[in-house]
Amino acid sequence: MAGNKRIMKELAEVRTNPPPGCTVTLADENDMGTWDAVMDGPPDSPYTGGHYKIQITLPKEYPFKPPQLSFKTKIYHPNVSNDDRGAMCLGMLRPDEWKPPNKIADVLRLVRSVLAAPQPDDAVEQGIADQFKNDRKSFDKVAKEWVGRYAK
Amino acid sequence: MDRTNQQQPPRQRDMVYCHQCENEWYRDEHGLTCPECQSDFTEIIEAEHDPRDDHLPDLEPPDHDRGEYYGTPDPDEGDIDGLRWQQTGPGQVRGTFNRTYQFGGGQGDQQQGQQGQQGGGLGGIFGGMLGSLVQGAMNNVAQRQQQPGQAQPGQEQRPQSPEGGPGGRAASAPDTARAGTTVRHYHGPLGHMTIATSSNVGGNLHPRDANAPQPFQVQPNYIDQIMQQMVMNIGPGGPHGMGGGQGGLVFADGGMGGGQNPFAAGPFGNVFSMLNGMTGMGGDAVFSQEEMDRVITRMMEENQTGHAPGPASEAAIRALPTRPIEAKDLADNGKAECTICMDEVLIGNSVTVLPCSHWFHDDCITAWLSEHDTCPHCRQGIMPKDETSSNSARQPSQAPLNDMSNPAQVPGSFPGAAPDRQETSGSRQQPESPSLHRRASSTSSAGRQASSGGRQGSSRGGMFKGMRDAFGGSRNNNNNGEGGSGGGPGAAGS
Repeated sequence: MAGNKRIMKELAEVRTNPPPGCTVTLADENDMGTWDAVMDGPPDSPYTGGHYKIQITLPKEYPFKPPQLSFKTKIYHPNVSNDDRGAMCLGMLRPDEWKPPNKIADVLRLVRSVLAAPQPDDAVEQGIADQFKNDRKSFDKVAKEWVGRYAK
Repeated sequence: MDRTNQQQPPRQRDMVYCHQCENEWYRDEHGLTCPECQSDFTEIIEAEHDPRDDHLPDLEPPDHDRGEYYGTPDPDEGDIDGLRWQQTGPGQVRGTFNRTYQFGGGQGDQQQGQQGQQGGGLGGIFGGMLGSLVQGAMNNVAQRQQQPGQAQPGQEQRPQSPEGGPGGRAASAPDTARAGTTVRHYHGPLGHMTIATSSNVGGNLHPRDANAPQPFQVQPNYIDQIMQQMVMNIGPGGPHGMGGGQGGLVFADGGMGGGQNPFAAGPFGNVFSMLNGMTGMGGDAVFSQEEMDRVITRMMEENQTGHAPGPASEAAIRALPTRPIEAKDLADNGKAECTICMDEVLIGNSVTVLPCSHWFHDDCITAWLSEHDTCPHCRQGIMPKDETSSNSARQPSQAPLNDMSNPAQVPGSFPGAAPDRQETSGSRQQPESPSLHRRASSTSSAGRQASSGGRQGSSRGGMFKGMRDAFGGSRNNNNNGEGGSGGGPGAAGS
């Protein structure tokens, strides 16, 4: 399957030249479809110092269908669902927005930029988004607390 | 949860009650922590000690013959005529009542599959529910009618031992008597029930015999009213206080399906199980938030194209020109790759060019365009206007009419572009003959169809087959001569 070949290429690329702050491994060396990425919290964000495990699931139709992201480390962020799915809503990953030329590395770069700059208007956690918009101080405080509690 | 779970007798299973959110579940399924609110302020429900405010009936079946529910107040008791319980044998109870309602059809299939696990009580209550819903919905006058038991003409008779058959399946045999009166009989292993109904409707509503072939009948308009009414009726203040006045979807709290349903232990358990079975998994009616989420998620996944364009037509895809890669296509590092498969392309390799002049491997772009009529880079569609508008009415699943920014590049305008096409993936087994080269004319596509269908069939899996099948019909309708079932080329993935 062409997808597999591409995945191998992408993996090799991402391992030799990983996006900033990311390391990528396969969850299971025999399964190209599940990637484990560890992303460092971007500097100048409340998440700095945290290490976030993100599972990336590539559908068998990849790259024709978008990969799926799941934060395995809890993070206090308007765009990451605060549940065991840890879903992050990225426009790029929406099925009608996804384009095959997008690469996982691009996705990881985007994830990191969203960590650095939350998008409260496109939130999955409305409460957190409201806090982010209206009470940035408290938001930063809780986010930092969560880093210490979950993401060390 | 599969449906067999629902049929398990619930009584051996521990039920756990959550003091926090009043949820109830089976211990062997969710343990002692509330699956709903994660609280651990929970308690195993015991017969002697039931933490719930409103006791559900004991899990043990009533040991007296008439059933525990005999004589309990029914909110709609006034509507029930002639409810009579008769002991017909050891462990057998027959409940009989008569109803009149305006509704004649469509019920037979729902009533089937009812199991008489609870003896007469179940049948009676099921009937009561059914009856009251119909009654409530129709607001009609009850009509007393004496039931002659199993002696109705035309009734489907089942051999019955005192214990009933192992299957215990109820037989429903509507019997149309004069003046639109329908008598239905239910036989479970332990219970019998007869419902006599009178239909006041003339015209197009007739009792439906679920066991025999019959002409198509229009579904009554008020079936949703009926369902609504049913939920209302079983909601507030049922005989056992279930629902506690919340009204409406009383079984919403319990999670869906099978053994999870706490009410499965109660007299309505089987009814709920049956309802769940009818409407739950795979259906489109749901009674819990969780289930609702699941259905919505599924629908979003199934319709995830949103307002994105649908697939491009096979003809339009085939009409795309190809060309060899030239030195100017290479990036600064002297390399070029197909951005879909990330394979390197070398000078001289053939690629398919979209109207926006982005190029890809033929197989790669075909697989993509068969799902989305957009350029993977710039999202411009490839479908020419005349492709769709010249044919009959457009179908909802059909690709939108995308404007071509360059009208010169309509299909067919590249007669010379194709002959030097090369195999890019090596997966094709049947090279195209020159006569089969890309042309927009749909009239000449029949022969090509066979050829392309063949090659695709052998080289590509059925990755998007379902989707393709779904789209296949309409696409074929709209592209005359595009023959081939949904399994045609194009849509296959890689």
